[in-house]
Amino acid sequence: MGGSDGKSRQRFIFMSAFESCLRAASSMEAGLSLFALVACVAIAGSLSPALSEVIYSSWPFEALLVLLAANTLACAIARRPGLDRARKTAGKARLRALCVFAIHLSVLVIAAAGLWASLAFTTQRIDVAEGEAFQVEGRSFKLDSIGAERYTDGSVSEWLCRVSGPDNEKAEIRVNHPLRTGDTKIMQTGYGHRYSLILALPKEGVERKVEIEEKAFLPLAKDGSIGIVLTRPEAGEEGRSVELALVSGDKALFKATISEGSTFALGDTGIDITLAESHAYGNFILRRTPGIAFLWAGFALLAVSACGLLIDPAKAAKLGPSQNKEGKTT
Amino acid sequence: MNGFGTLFGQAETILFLAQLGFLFVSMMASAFGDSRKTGRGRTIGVAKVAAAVLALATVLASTAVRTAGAGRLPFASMYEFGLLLCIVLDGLLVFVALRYEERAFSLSASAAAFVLGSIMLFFFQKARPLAPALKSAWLGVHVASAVIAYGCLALSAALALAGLVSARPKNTAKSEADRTSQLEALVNRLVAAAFPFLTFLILTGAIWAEYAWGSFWRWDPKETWALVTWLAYLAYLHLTRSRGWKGRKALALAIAAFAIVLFTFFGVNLLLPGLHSYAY
Repeated sequence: MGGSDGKSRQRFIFMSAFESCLRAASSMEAGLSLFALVACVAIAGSLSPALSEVIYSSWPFEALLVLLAANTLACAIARRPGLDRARKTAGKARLRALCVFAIHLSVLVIAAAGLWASLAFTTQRIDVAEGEAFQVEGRSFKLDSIGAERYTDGSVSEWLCRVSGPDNEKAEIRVNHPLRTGDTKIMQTGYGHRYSLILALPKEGVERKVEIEEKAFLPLAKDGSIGIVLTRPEAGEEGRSVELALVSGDKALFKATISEGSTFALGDTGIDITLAESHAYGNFILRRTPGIAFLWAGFALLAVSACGLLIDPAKAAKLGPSQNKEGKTT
Repeated sequence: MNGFGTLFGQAETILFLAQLGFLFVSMMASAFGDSRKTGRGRTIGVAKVAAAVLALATVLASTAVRTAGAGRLPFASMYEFGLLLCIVLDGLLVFVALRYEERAFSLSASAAAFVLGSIMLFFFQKARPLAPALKSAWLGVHVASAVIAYGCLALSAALALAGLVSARPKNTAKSEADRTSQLEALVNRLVAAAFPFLTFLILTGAIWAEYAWGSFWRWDPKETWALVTWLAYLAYLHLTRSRGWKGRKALALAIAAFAIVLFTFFGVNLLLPGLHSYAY
């Protein structure tokens, strides 16, 4: 008997402690404190890019987000916000109360789907030159062309990549318009030019071929005090000609435009520069996000249930068919 | 810019300035009017509503001129966002001027619209072609959600400020208590109306980011501050509706939360570099 009593007592203490913990974890005070903490840390991270890298990927911040989700879960289970009110009311008031519960539920769906997606997603970054082929999910694509469409004032209206699919079908990849193949999205993230230059010292019979990216600094002196930078013209014959600048420190000593295949004597340095080739290339992200359908479902639920807040609580109470003029439930 | 472009630009600016003029008239009529429905009181009341309607009409016309000149809807820059915000605030002013006789209400609404409109003058810039990053079907929904939410929240903060300034703790007159509770209720309803749009703002932004950047959330300063704003108003709704916060505490919280909106709108664009820089 004594042993049984002791076990019952232990179970009672354990259950009481569990209920107290659940009550504390699900409390609005805990939720509001977590709102404030998340907001403060997020603000700190937004102040500089260096801080954001440290803070947003740190485990304490991730733990805070998990705690916030846990608080919402505990709240939804223990206190069922809106549900008890929904049982006691009718009409619009009931709908509004149900929406309050649905908001909590949608936050949980988003948190779970977001966690799944962030753990299971795959990202691959690739640089593809014009005319080059690349593989996605075992299927072969070819980047036919990269280009920019422009407005009449010369500003860019669209960055455009044209690709051929495995069955030679044509498709376009633009900003905001990724190409979807299977479960993978191909997104355009950047665009640039790579140049092949031949540097020659004719008097000494020396020649060297170098590859240089657009806007990158190519040192000509051993101490790096002087070098060249190639810049693509804003509009016009993109890729066919390039502006070459001889640079020392931040100063451009002189500039000249050279076209593909032509040779240019670099001032009185005795160096001849030939623009042998120019290649346009695109930067792409290949991304697979499993569980994205659940995330969409969470978004849809949150969007619909948030509309419930537009129902005026005072009016909703008056409109409830099961209530009389004094607001008493009949 | 060609001759037509210059003409569009001038007409747009003149109409915007006219809006500010009408808002000023409405503000003065609200400040010096009274609630009498006869004689001078009635005349000033009519002037207040007429000026509010004319302010809305002129800002709509200014937006239409800009749209025609640019050949696209004005969703692309901070000034254009401000223009749309003026439409929402002027619309709310008309509603408040028609619905509520209490002068503090229309005075707050007209002052909020006038101050915001005056600030937006400093951000004026000619319409530019749409950048590739902004060419998305989500742009309209995203910006419209932001404009409606921020418009309602601006008015809620102006009303809360009026409530705090005019509240006299020892004044227990029934009319004063009624006015304060009516004002508090309106502040609360405006926040509740804005909250779904704040939610759409974040959701549409996340969906758009997935298409543009390949991830729903990147902790960009604008995203971060939009989340902070959402959390602040979530806290306000919890505290006022479930914890019974009322009076000065609730009004002060509405103002503090709006200070975050102001930083999200102005501060982030001007001070914090990020992926939203093309929207400035």
